Amino acid sequence: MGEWLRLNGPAVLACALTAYRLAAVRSWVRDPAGRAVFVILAAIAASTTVNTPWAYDVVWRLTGVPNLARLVSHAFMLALAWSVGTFVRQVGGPPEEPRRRTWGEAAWPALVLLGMCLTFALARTPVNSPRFAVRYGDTPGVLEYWLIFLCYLVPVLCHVTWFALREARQTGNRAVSAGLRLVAVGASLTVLYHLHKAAYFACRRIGADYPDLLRAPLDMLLVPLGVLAVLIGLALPSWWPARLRWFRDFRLHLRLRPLWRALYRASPDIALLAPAPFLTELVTFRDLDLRLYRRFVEIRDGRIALEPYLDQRVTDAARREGVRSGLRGQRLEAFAEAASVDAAIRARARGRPPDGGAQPAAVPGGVDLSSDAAFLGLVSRAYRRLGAR
Amino acid sequence: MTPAGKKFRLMRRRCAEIARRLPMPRPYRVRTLCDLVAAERGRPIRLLELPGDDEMLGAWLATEATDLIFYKPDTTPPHQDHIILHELSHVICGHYPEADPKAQRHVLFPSLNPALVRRVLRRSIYGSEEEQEAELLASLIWQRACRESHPRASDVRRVDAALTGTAEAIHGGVSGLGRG
Repeated sequence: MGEWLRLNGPAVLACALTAYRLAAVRSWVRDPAGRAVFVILAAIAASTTVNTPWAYDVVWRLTGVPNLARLVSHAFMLALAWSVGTFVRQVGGPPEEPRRRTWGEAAWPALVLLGMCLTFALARTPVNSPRFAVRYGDTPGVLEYWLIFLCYLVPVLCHVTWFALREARQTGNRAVSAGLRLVAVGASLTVLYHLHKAAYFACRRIGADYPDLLRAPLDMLLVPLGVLAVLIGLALPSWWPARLRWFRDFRLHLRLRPLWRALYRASPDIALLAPAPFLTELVTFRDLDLRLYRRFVEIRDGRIALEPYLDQRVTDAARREGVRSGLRGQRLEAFAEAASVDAAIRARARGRPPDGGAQPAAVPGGVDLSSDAAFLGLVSRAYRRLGAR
Repeated sequence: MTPAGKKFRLMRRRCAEIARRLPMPRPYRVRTLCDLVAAERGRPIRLLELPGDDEMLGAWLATEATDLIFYKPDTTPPHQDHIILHELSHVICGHYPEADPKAQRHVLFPSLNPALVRRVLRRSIYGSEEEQEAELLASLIWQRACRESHPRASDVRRVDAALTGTAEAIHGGVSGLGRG
């Protein structure tokens, strides 16, 4: 299983991420840098897929050319490097003047590809073998092929590493920063792998020893780790914040439930829809944003329905108790609000508004929906704890 | 599916279609949305704080020339926004045509000249279908505004936009308020 994952895992992951990005095509299709990110993902997916043992065999059977899969895989790597270079130019230039693509930028990788095709054709590698380097490492033409390949790949990936680290330091978006650092790690590992292979081919050609203790782990780990780092780095900025926000909203929705339930029992009219059982809520994932918004609105409506029963004296007493317990800031306000709402619900159940007490002067909460909902989350937690006392 | 459930689903589909067709201000502000709806209807909408401090949350009062939307000031700003959205939804749906406006006007705004009033509607509970529809439409308008929200292009670096997949929305001229 571990070996299967090492050989096929990067390809499966790259294909999945490419499909994921493709599903959101409308969000990036008109942006050149967005398109470059997609081409990068697609090139990684194609390059790693062609290099899996079964695809390596399929390419040979379809074309009859042994080891052609390796050349195709490297051609996709060139496309990948070219896309990365395009991406860097698109996002690194002045925003008001996106740079036009020049022939020179496309001619250089095309020339490198031509050189690779020539050396591939000249090298005598008659047996189709996924373990190409071991079998043909000392064959004339293989080292030359590799060095031509590196002429384009290594400078581009070094530039990408520098660029990604520079941008990671400058961005204020933590997910983008983490993603760029991972891209830098992935690019560095890829450079390291290709230099290691160049050294290996050179040693084989001149008959020198290349220690197996070094070769085996580098061969085994550098490519999967590099691909994994780049893929996660590219996916993280678009994927992670949305998931994180969803989990936060889901947790807040559940956290608001005790307060909402209490207000609903006091004033059933506040609910647009009848409440669902807790277990149903736990496994309902659709329309979370709408359901959270409804919960927020209904809690606020429910509080207004309780207004005749709110008592400033209860709020003041709860605030004093909270201060004694070491509460400060929003948590103190939330505790006082929870105690006030709790007392108002009881007063309403008795049908007796407080005698001679004034209603709280101000409604505590946030100035926007996020902060107000977060405050109500604190109130709900405090309310639940009051009930548990 | 129960008849009530089916009825609600049909209502939701209807409201979603209305919300989809609404002009959406970018960035989203409920007051700007009211201006856009007013421009489409050819009748100005004025937003006013509700007088008094009873349990009423909001009200829509239509005069000959203007729609007046009242909202409760003694609640948090996002809740006020929702109350305005609810009343605006009544305006959009054209609820309660000529529903005994003079009598309700007298209860709510005794000082207002009765000759000016065409219709009055107050938001309190969701007992009637019209109230449910307005509440649902208000929520769906908010959902659309929230889902289409993006930071302004000038606030986002190009590398961030490209990696987060928001480049089209940002550089294509779309922006919004988000959850704020």
